[in-house]
Amino acid sequence: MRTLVQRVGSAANLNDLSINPNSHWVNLKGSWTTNIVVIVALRLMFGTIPWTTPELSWTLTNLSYCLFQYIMFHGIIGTPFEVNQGAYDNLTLWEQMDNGEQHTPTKKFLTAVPIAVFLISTHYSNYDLLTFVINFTAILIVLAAKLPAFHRVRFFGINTGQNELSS
Amino acid sequence: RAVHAHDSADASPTAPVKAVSSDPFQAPPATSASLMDQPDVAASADAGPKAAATALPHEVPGGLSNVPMFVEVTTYLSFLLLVMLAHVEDFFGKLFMPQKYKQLRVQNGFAPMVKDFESMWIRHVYFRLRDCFNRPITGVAGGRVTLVDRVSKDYNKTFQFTGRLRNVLNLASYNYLGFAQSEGPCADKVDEALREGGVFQGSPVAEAGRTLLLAETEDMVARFVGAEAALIVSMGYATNALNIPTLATKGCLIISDELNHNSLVTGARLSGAEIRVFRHNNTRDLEKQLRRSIAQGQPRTHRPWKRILVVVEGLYSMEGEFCKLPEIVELRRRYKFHLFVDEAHSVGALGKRGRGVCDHFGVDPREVDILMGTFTKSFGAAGGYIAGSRALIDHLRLHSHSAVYAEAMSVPVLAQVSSSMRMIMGEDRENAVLGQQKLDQLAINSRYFAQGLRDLGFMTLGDAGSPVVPLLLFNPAKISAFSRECLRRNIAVVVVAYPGVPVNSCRVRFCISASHTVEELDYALEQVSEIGDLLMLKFRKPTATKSIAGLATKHD
Repeated sequence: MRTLVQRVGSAANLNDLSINPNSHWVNLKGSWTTNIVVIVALRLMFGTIPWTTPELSWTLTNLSYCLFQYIMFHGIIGTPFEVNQGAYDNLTLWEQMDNGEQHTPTKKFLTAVPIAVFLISTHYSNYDLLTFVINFTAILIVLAAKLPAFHRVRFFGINTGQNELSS
Repeated sequence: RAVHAHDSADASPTAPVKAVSSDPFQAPPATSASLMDQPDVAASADAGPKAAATALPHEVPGGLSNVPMFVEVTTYLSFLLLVMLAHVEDFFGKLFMPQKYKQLRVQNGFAPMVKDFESMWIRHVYFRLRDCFNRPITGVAGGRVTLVDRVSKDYNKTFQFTGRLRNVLNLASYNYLGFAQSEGPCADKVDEALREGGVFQGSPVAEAGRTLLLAETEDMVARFVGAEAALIVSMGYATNALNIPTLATKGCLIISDELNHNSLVTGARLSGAEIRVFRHNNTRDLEKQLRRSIAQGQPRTHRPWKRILVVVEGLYSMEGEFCKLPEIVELRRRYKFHLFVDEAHSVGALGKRGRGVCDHFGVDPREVDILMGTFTKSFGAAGGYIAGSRALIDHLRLHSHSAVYAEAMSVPVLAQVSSSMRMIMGEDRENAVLGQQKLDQLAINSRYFAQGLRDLGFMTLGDAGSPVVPLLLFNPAKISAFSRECLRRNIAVVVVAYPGVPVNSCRVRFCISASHTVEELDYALEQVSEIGDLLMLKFRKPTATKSIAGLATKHD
């Protein structure tokens, strides 16, 4: 019987300082800039849809960015190629980053960006209650998954990830 | 022919001024002041793109400090697109064409061999590029190689041979001194040894495998690298994987460069010692690691380490960079650790007399405790050696798995090692000139090619004098495009992509050989220049507006 809170074990020796190629790229030059570029591109894309107001575009940007971030960093478990003989197989990308170290600059950046997008979207939606609630829920889920307390914890579908679709 | 030793356009304002030497082998001496006090400048002994040390957490692997942001961003976006498409394809494929994904599910009560997410990269990215890798060849892979042509009608799932053979310029094989030949003085000696000694030894060295030829060759290897004694192992990978566990045990500390080869990592893991890693070629980080580890001692007990072994490579083949040997030797004097240098790519290829990275930097080989190398790259043979003090080698002969259990090197391979090394050392009377010619030709060729690429505006990595010249491609799509264009122009190259190299630096790795003629190199430069224009690869300001083919004839 599945318990509500599951703690996931991992074979990775998280004190081992070897690079994990699957997650190391977030520290490399250009990845942060690409993050910003993606947000700008999303906003422009939503803006090109006719009859969308800026508030709707920003809300959609916030929601889609949160969705992307969630799927990419917390929704997919393991590595798309073999790393270290499967040591990282049970970990989401967020947990693999920086070998499980918390509060690294990259993690701070990736926590700050959704917050910034959220603040911009609330500004443009003129603090309307409904959009605020929608945006807030989205960002709450994304931020919860990033908390150090949630490291290797699978709770209520947060961090569970999207496993094999066939099974 | 005037060949510049380094590219002055690359000098950053903080780098010390280096004298341009007309001697292609001269490396300027490194400073020996304390590294902790110096400003954070990567003082590589040869000029090359400098690694930027910034306060930002962004890492800039050496040589990639001047990449335009547009290229970086588009590279990440390309990979993002690839991954998204792969996920979408998997999702819809499993829905609408489940029989294609049969092997990733439980069938007939058998579990799948690979999980579907773990194989995603191979299925979606590698398969698209598969025709660029593992091309079948026939005959000897020398300066030119004969490829067996093949086509694929089902997007690289299967290949069919067309029946055609294609003789192409070989910039892909490790053949630094051009010993990969099926004819010549070495081949004759191999023939002779084969008739006299048979094919294999049939026994481990510790039992009955130690023949006169083996003993003589081991002595010769020791003299070649400047050590007291040497041990020859029949397999290069095993030389590291089986000997490092003898050198380091539980209670020891191994500090290894983060880009060390798999064999070194395997050996370190097998040894049971504590492993720490320092940033690639960053002696400040190494010193920090050393100080931290020595001060803290062993993990829980805080007792002093039994032994500290620092493992570096002489030449890193993916980056074309040398280790910073003078600085590391200076650290060794101060902190008294043992130094292990893996010269797989640098022995025979670097230095005025071809003795490797110690020769190149002018460091006394006795300052390096353990010199390891392989015969695969420069000597046209197989296997590896470990050289060091007599006491060390005697210990290895008794305690190393490779010396006690592994079969001794086979006779023809040993004869090849012996004859090629004799030729390079000049001990072979008939071919003494030929040996030195090969060394000189390799030095000239590698500098010529690397400088030619930089003059044309390409972004290359690596230090001057390295026989491995990586050229940066960045975008994943350019990998296959470059490889296929080269093949169309009869050049064989090796392209490397993520995850073999960091995401933002996919590259093509040219391996220069002494058996390449100047005409062949000029041809290659011309063709690569055309491809570079087609694929937009010239990220630097070129100093030559068109190809430099014909430069050789002008200066000669």
